[in-house]
Amino acid sequence: MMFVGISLAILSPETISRLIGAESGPFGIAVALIAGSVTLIPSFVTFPLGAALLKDGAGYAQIAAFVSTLMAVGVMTLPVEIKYFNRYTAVLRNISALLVSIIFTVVIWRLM
Amino acid sequence: MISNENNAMNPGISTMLKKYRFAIGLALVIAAIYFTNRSVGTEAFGISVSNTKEMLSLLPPVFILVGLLDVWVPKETIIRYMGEDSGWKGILMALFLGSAAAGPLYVAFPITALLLRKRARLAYILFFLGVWSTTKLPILLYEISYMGLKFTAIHAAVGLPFFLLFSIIIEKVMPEDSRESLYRKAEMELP
Repeated sequence: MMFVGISLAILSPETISRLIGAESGPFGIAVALIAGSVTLIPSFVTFPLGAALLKDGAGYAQIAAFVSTLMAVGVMTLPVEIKYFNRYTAVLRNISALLVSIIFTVVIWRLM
Repeated sequence: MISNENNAMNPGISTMLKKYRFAIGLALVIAAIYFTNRSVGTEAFGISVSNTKEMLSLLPPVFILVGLLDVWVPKETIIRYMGEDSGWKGILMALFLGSAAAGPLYVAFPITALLLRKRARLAYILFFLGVWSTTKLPILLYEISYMGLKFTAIHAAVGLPFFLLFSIIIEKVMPEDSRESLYRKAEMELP
């Protein structure tokens, strides 16, 4: 919880938009995928945040990568997930969720 | 001597410190940030508080709900609707349960533990998690209003089929004994 608090406060909206701007391409998408995977933000904050980042110049594909991994991939909650399932299932589920997010991002990239 | 006596009186204190060393460490980091940059520190604290609040407000009701369902819903019912041979019913149940949800994914884990206890099929349980992370209704409304209908529709149209596909693949590649141990673990421990 506190880890997210710290990282979100340090990264200003301007920095985020520069990293994942509409022109940032695959690099920006990779940054967004990683950022979404390792952070944990209340879901009702996720989309207002995504919309705000779009307004600040972030690209649709990058935001798609960010919000989808934010909700589906949980690196922070992996220890909890392993406790409820086992290492094999939890790791595979997170990898598959990352793949689904990448597919979704590519479709958004092509269509929007 | 004195510390030994303290340990004898509070046997838990050193293990407590060890258990929460990350939380304590991060709290110190936030305090350090606050003293170097007030606004960033305040924001870090605010976000941490709102995340913790969300967790504290969602987890206890879910634990209670899971406990009640554990007693009320017989294993046979879950096997019939989400078990090995439930077919389309299982997929629809996972869609319904995952969409009716609210909250972050970690709130769903106690529910998946319950489904495992009641012998639901692993692929459907994994699909339920996929649905939860894509189209839970309250958040879907947020997504439509903030990101637009097209974005949301693509998210659901791409996310759901691929989550279903990967859920089945994970179940298929998983060794039999690993899957069996999942069910046995869930049966032994209450969620």
